[in-house]
Amino acid sequence: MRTSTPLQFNRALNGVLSLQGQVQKYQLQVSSGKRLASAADDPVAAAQILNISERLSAVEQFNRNANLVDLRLADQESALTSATTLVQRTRELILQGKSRSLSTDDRRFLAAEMRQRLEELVSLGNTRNASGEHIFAGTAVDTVPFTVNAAGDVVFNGNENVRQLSISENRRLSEGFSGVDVFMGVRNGNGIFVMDVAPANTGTGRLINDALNNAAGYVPDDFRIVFTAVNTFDVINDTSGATVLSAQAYSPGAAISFNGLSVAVTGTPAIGDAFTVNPSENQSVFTTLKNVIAAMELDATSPALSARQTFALDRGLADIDQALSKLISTRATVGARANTLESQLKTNEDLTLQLKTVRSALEDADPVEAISELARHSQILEAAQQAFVRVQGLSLFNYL
Amino acid sequence: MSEMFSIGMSALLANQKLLATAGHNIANVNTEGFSRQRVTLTERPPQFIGSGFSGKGVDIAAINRMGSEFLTTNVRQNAAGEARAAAYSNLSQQVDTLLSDGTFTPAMERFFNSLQDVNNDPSSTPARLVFMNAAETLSDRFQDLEGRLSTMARNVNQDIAAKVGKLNSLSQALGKLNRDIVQAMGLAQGAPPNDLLDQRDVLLKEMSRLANLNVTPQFDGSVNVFIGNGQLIVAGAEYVELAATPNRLDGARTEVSVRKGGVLSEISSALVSGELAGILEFRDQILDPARNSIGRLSAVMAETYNAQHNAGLDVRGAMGGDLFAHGEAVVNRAATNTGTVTVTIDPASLQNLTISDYRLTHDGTDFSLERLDTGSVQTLTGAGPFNVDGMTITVGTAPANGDAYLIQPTKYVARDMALTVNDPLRLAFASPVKSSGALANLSDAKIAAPSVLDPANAALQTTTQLAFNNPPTTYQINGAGPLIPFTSGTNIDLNGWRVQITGTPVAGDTFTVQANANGRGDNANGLLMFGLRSTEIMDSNTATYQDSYSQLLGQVGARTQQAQISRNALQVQLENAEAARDEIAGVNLDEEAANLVRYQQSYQGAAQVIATADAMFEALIAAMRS
Repeated sequence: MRTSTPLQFNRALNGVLSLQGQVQKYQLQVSSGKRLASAADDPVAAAQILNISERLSAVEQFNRNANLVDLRLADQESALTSATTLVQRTRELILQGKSRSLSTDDRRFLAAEMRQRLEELVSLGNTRNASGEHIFAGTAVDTVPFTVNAAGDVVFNGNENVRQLSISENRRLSEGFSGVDVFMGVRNGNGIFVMDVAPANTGTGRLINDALNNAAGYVPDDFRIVFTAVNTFDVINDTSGATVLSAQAYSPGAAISFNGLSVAVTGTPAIGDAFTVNPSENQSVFTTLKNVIAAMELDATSPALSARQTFALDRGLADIDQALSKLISTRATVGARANTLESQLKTNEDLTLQLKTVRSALEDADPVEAISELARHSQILEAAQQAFVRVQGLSLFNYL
Repeated sequence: MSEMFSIGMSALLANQKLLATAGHNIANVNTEGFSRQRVTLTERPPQFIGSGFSGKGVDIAAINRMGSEFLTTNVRQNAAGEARAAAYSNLSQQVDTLLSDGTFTPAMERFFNSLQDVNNDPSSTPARLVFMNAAETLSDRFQDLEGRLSTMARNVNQDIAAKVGKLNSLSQALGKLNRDIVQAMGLAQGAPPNDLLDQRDVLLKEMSRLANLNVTPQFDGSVNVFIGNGQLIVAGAEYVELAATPNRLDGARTEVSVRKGGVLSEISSALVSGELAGILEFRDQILDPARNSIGRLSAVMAETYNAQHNAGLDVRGAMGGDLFAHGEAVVNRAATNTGTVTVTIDPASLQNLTISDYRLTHDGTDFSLERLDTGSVQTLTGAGPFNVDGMTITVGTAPANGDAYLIQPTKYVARDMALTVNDPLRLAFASPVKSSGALANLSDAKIAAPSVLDPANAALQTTTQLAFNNPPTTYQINGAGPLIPFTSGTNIDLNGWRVQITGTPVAGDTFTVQANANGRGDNANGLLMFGLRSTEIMDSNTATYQDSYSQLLGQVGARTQQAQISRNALQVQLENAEAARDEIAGVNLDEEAANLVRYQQSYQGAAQVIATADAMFEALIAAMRS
């Protein structure tokens, strides 16, 4: 085959040039560690890498969010633990106060300590976190959630909304609870119904031994036990006006059953004395403490007053138990959220690792391959250069 | 004897020409487009001398250039194809590099991450400032990308003008050469002016590198050149000027036109190879879709974020306004139009927004809308406004037959993207309404947080109470009106909000939806804003923002890769075509060296013939003298 001299030259030169390009490509791979210099090197991988990087950055942010939720849940948990201790202490004080051997002054001392505890509890409800936000104020984070009004009642000024944070692509977690749930929305009595003594009673009768026997038969209506004659009482449904039990014989401590529940009256009720059995209502733990303090400070100068005091302390004990169980269950939920968080963090960690592995497979150059390719192409380039010089040196003119 | 002198002289002259031609070949070994030349020798007519014919020496029959018209045409066509691929690939690499530079996705990431930081701490002003900064950076990235792409568009225009100018001067030179060749051939009675022909081939190849040409040889030795779909641009010594002209509908696009009889007609679409075709194709296939895609992403992000931000409540207690400003759809109208139309991006159908431009024409009765990237056409009947592909087309002044518009829905959107909120307390991360159950409620029924359906509803933040009747199978709104039957968990839509109540309420339970006063720590709307990140909101609800950008990068990358592969293949084809031509037409120095030796020997032989004749003559004279 005939070839022209410029063609020979150009072909040899092009060979050297394209080899130089290859050497440069592998050199770049070795020095950057990346397989792709731009999207054109592998368009599909480039698009995937972009998506993966975006997801990785989001997962990192989710982890930051999760750690923040963790801190905030810890804030609430520690406040709730302190609150539980406080309420337990007041419960002990009530038990002490119930002892009939105590004098009025003794009870006043106990009441004084309770007032302290009440104040501490209010200040716990107003706890702030590291960013200065009130942790029990709902989303009204700038507002002091619990304040004492002129009547001496603790009122809630926050709201019931709780902030949520994203801890994964489609999972949000609440930061905790609003104070309204924890401290205000506590059912009184036994959580289903609540017993009370009418204020106008003159006898020493009081209610004890409440029990729900048949939850299915229970209707949330107001009931009243009225003593119509000596040792005779009626049970009236105040909601419907119907008389449920009529002219029943009174025996102290005997169970009176109606509406799926049973209570007992003890002591000596006077004629006209009334006792109510109403559905439980929400009553704040602060109100409960306030009621107990009032009962403690009562100067029980007569048997009727003494009975009233005993009943009020019993009732306070029941209310306190409701508040305690609310605190404990809330704390358990907070703890459960912390567990959720932990497992989400673990999932996020796995996801991060997986995404990084895929990204690395897509974008990282195989160092062994890149280096050996670089060596191979450098070698070929060297050979091509030598061949170029040799071939260009060949000319018939050398021999003329 | 005189016969020997004459034969010797003819041989000397012929060999001199052979040597000179070898020298000419050697001299032009590196001349672009040179075809090696060959002298064809022929015997002189013999003389009859009775006993037979006596030879009379040698004559030069012709000097020809080696090569074939077929191979030259082949080189020319391959050069045109390679030039197109090289221009396309070089330009697309620029866009590929720009989009791969890894600055856009981090800006998006930062935007979403800082948004979450505000959600984590809505009452923190520093977090809000960081978010505003991230939003500004994101807008800047959009503007910057569009800015760089539009600079490329301007460079493309300048490039087209420069190439057209070059093509014109080459046409002019070709016309002159045509004239010279016709003259030379006339003088030489048809003998080919080899070197002029070589020069013309070079010119034709250079012109082919710019645009696809059709070359027709004429009887007088000149060639006629047609461009594109058959526009004559060189006829003999005459040439027709091409012009770089603004597009009839879009002045920002330069097109190639031919000027004929004072009338310009566009031939851009007829160019299929050569650098001009590569540039035009790059503009249609990569540059414009990339600009439209960036524009569409900015339009969708801005509009969706505006809508969500509008549904939120800021720290000062006011409803949120727009978060981003952005550019609008552009309508280019023909100068001859009678009517007017305006086009806006329709916030209600962002998922239908495409990355195409559209041509809108009126036939006297209806509008017809052509989507330029797919070529699909739809007829718009009536007076409008028409909601098509995420656009709202509103007719202003009544249209007339022949009206034409070029609609660019997203091309210039990113150019004007900017954050409009400049007060961190004006960022609306809270929900405008909140819901609550009364503390006195006796049941465990719960009311869900309200979601905003219509932020513009005047009664949105009006306090509304839902009170359950006895029996609690119905509820009443604000203690009046009809008894509404209650089913746990169903949507209750009122005053522009939606809530659900779950559980079993008892008579007397009340639930309240009211203004979210004092909700500085609320992030309900912020969470919804963050949720947009993973919502498939684009491309008929199949792609997120990030997907849309990745798809653009993938498409540009794939086209660039394709262009590189095709350029490499065409380069090899061109090299092969040139090699095929060179095998015949190229100069081989070794061959010429051998020829020199051979011709030199012939020349010495011819000289020896003359010397011998001289010796014979001397011998004859000496014999006469003695």
